[in-house]
Amino acid sequence: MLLRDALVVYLAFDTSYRGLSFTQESIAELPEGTSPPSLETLRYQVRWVLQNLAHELLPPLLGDLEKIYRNRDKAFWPIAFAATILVFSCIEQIQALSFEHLDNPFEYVSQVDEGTIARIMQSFHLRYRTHRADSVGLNPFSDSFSFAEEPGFDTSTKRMVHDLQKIMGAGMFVNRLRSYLS
Amino acid sequence: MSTGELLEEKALPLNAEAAETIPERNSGRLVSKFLLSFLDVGET
Repeated sequence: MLLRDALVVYLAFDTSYRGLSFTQESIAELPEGTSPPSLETLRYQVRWVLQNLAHELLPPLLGDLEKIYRNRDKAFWPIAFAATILVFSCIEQIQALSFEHLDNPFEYVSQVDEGTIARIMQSFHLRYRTHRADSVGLNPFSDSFSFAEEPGFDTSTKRMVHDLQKIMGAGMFVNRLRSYLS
Repeated sequence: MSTGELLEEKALPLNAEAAETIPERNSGRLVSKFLLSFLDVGET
């Protein structure tokens, strides 16, 4: 449910930026005698509806994300991880939108980065721990991590981690990201 | 220094260059930040 809800919010944002096109069927559905609204009007209205929907669904989604973190069950780690990525994409979309609507969007972006984003990341890393007695942050992307020693992950999770490791492990990629974010 | 001034000060380093680095659409900046945060999560 969490992942589905996160996808809905993400798709609402993403779709709001996609272009619209008329088809013969959609024109045929217009009442006789009415002229179709301009493409610009339709695009604006659809964008408005979808972005409002996303804004409405995001707060409960953040609550659900926090709930799944609290669960601490490693079986939910991949869901929490994937949902967090989707939620971060949505939040960045809101930050980008602030440049259209706020006088000082930089202050807003900075506040969200240092508030909501920092809190979510801290919560994620604090809640998911290794099973060992000297439990530390669970990091399947680490070189020293072993799925054999850390039970609770299924095959698709291992595949996802492996695929991401190939990207994150590339030194040039990480260095480029670091310089981009600094 | 008031909270507002502090926030403004924090936002200042962004002002100079962020206009070019924060596009209208999602660039993956926050997702990158999340992925990079794993580099600081130790196993020992």
